Amino acid sequence: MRIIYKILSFSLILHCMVLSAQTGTSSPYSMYGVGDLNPIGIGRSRALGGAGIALPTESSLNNINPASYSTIDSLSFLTDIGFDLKTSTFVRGSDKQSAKSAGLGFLAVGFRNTSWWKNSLGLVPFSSVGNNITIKNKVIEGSSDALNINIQGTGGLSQFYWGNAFKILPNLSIGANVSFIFGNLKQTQDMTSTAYSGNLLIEDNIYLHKLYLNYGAQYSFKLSKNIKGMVGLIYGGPCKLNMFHNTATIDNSGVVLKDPTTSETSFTLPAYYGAGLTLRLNDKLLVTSDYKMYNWANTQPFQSKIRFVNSDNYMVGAEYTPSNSFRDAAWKRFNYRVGGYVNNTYLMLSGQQIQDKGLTFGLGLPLAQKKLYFNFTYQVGQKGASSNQNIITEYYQNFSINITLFDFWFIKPKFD
Amino acid sequence: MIKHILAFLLGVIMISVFNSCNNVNSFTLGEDIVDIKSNVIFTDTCTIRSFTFKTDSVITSGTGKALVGRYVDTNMGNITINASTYFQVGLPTLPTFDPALTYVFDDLILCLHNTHYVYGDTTKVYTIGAYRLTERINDKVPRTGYLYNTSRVAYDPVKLGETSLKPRYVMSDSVGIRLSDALGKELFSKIQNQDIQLSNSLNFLDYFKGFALVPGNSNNCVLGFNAYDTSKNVVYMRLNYHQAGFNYFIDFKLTNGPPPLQFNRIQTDFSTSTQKDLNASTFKKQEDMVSSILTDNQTFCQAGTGFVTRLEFPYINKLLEAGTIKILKAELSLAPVMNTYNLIPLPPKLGFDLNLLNSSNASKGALTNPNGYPKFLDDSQYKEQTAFVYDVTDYVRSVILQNPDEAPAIGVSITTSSNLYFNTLDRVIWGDRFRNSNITKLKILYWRY
Repeated sequence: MRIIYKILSFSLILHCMVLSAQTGTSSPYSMYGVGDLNPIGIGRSRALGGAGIALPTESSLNNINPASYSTIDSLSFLTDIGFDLKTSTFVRGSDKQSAKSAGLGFLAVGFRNTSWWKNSLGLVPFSSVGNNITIKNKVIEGSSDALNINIQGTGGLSQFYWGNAFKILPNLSIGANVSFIFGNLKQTQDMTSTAYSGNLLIEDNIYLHKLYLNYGAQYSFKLSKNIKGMVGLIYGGPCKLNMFHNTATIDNSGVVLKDPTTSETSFTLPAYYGAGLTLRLNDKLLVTSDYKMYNWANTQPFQSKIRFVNSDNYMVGAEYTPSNSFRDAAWKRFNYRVGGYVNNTYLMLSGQQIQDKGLTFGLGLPLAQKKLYFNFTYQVGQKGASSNQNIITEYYQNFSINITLFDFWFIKPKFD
Repeated sequence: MIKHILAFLLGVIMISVFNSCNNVNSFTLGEDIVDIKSNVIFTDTCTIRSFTFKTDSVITSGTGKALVGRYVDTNMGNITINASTYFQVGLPTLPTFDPALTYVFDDLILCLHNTHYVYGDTTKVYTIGAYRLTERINDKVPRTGYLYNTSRVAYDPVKLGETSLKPRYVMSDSVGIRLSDALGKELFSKIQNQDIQLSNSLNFLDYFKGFALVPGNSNNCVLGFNAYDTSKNVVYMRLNYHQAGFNYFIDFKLTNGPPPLQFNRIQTDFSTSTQKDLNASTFKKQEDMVSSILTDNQTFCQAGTGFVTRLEFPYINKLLEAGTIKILKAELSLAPVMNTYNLIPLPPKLGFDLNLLNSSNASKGALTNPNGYPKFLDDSQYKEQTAFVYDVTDYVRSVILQNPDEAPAIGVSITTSSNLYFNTLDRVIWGDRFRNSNITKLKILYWRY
C-alpha cells in the first residue's frame, strides 16, 4: 500500500511538472540536435566534477549509475529536488553577450521495494534548447537587399525514469533505468527585410517520446582496513528518437502559406560507455573518477556547418568529511567537495572540437540527524575552443541546490 | 506522506518561479555557427521581350500647347518627327471708320508666344511657315469630340508668311510671322467696307478658316507655343494700320472650342529611316510591333507620336518550377540607353504610365505603384545605372499563375496624367534585356518555402 501511495503522489506531481520540467538554457550551442544535453549527475555528483559511476546513493540519489540505488537505506524514502541557476557569458573576439537561466534541476524519489530490489523514480531534464540568434543584414545574393534572420529555439526533453537496482551479491549490484524520454522543441526562423514588410516565419514544433534503457553495475571492495573502494560500469545503447514535426509557414502578410504539415525525422542518441572508480580513506576522504565515451560519430546533425564526433568525458572529484560524529561541531560534519571535468563534446565546428571544462565546489549539509541534506554546488567552466577565436566561448557559472529528504525524518518517534 | 506531497507542491511552485525568470536573449553571436538557408532568393535573369508599337492616335486638341517643328531622331533610326499645329482665329469687335479720314494699312502679323518648350537641336535655324486653312477645323472633329495627332485639315499650299530663327539665341517670349500684304489689304478693305463676311463670326470663319503652322524642311527642332485662348499670351493675328500719325491695330485671337479646335498634327516620317525594320509599313495598326532585337536592342516611348514600349515575360512561370514560392518583391527596372538623352532630356520621374496590355496592345488597366515608387536612379556620371524603377509585385504575382500566352504584357508610355503625353514630344529610348549595359531588368525577390 505504502508504495502505491508513493507512486500515486509522485505521478500527481509529475502531471503538474511535465510542462515546465526543462532547465532553461541560453546558448547558441543548444541549436544542434536536440539541444544541450544536460549533465546527468544530480546532487552530490555535481560537486564532484560530475563523477558518479562508482558512487553509491548516500547523501543524495545518484542516477548516473542505476545500480547505486541498491544502497538506499532500507528504512528511508528519499525525495530529491534540485534547482539550478546558471549565468553565461558568450565571447567571440570583442563581442560579448550574457545570459541567465534558472529552473528545476530535477525531482526524484528513491525507496526500497524488497531488501534486494530498490527503486527510484525521477523526472530529470534530458536536454534543453534555448537559443535566439539574430543575423543582421545578410545580403541576399545578387541584390542590394539584406535580410535580418532571427532563429529561436526553445523547449527541451525530459526524462522520466524508473530505476531498478538489484543486489545480486553482497558486493555486487546491477541496475537498469527504464526511461521515458519526451518533450517538445520549437524552432522558429523569422526573416525581415527592408525589401518587404512583415515577417516570413517558419515555425517548427517538434514532439518526441521514446522508451529508453540504460544499465549499470557497481562492485564494492575493501583494500585494507582503512581503504574501501567501488568500481562501476554504465552502458546505454543507441536510441533513435522519432521527431514529429508540425511545421507552419507564414508569409509576410500573415497568411499561412502552408497549413501545419506533419513530417517525421529522427535523431539518434549515441551509445555510451562509462567506467568509474572510487576510493575511500577512513570514511573521511573520498576520491572518485569517471570516464565516459559517447559514440556520436554515427549521428548526423541537422546543420551542415558542424559535425558530430565521438565525445570523451573525464571527471574527477574528492569529498572530505572531517567527522561523522554527531558530537562534533556542525562544520566538521559537513561534506567538502571539489571536482573537475574535461569533456570533449560531440560538437565539431570549423574543424575544432568544442571542449567543455570546469571546476566544481560543493558543500553537503547534513541536517536533522541526516534526515535532511542540503547539497550546494558551485560550478565554473568554459565551453568553446580556445585556440580558435572565431568560435564562441561560453564562460558559465552554475549554482545549484539539491535538497534530499529522508522519509523517516517525518515519523514522530513514539517514545517522544 | 502529506508532508511529502507538500514538499512536491513547494517544488512545483518554485519551478514556476524559476522558470519565469528564464531569459533568452537575442544573440548576434552565433551567426558563423549557424547554417542558415533563408531560401529568400533574388533573380534578375528573367527573360524580357521588348517591343515598340505605336498607338493608333493621340489626342492633341485643346492641350494648350501648339507644337511646331521637325526633328530627325538619330537615336530612333533617323525617323523624322513632324509637328504642325492648326487653329482658327475669331472675329473681334471691329472699330468704325470715319469715312472722312484716310486709313493706311501697315502689316498683318501672326504673333506666337513661346512656352519655352523646346525639343531637339536649338542651334540650328528654325523655320516656321503659316498657311491658310481651306477646311474648317470644326468640320473635322469626329464624334469623340477630340482631334488627334493623325487628324487632317487641308490648307492652301500658298504660304501666307514665314519666319526663321535660332531657338537658342531667340529666347524672347514672342515670335512674329509677317503674313502676306495681299491678305492684309483684303482684310483691311473688308473691315472698312463692313463686308458681309465680317458681319458675324460664322461668316468670318467661312471667309478665314484658320491657320496651319508648318515647320520648314530643314528644321531640327520643335517649339511649343501657347495655345490657350484665355491667357493674355494667346496667339493672335494683328492687323496694323495708321491714320495721320496715329497707329492702330485689330487683333484676331485664337478661339478654341468647345469642342477644342486647336490641335497638333504629329507625323512620324519613316522615309528618312536608316533602319530597315522601321519603315512606313512597320506600324500600320496598333497591334503591329517591332522587336527590340530589330531596333538595336532598343525600344521607344514617345508622347505625341504614341510610341509605346511593350514588355513580355514569357518564361516567368518557370519560377514556379523551383517549388512553392512566394513573390516578396518585384521591381521593373527600365534603363534608358545612354547618349540618347543628351539633346532631349529624360522625362521626369513621374513621366511614365505602366499599363496592362492584351495581345493586340489594348490597355486593360493601369499598374499602380505603391508609396516610394517609381524610383529614379540617377547615375549622372557614368549613365550605366540610370533607371526608372517600378514596383510590379502584384503584376508578377498574378502573371506567374497564368498561361504565358494569355498573361497581360506591360506597356510603358509617357504619362497621360500630366498632359505630357498629349502636348509634348518627350521620349525615352529603353535598353532591352539583351544588351551589355542599360539593361531593362525584372528583379524578383522570392521566398521558396
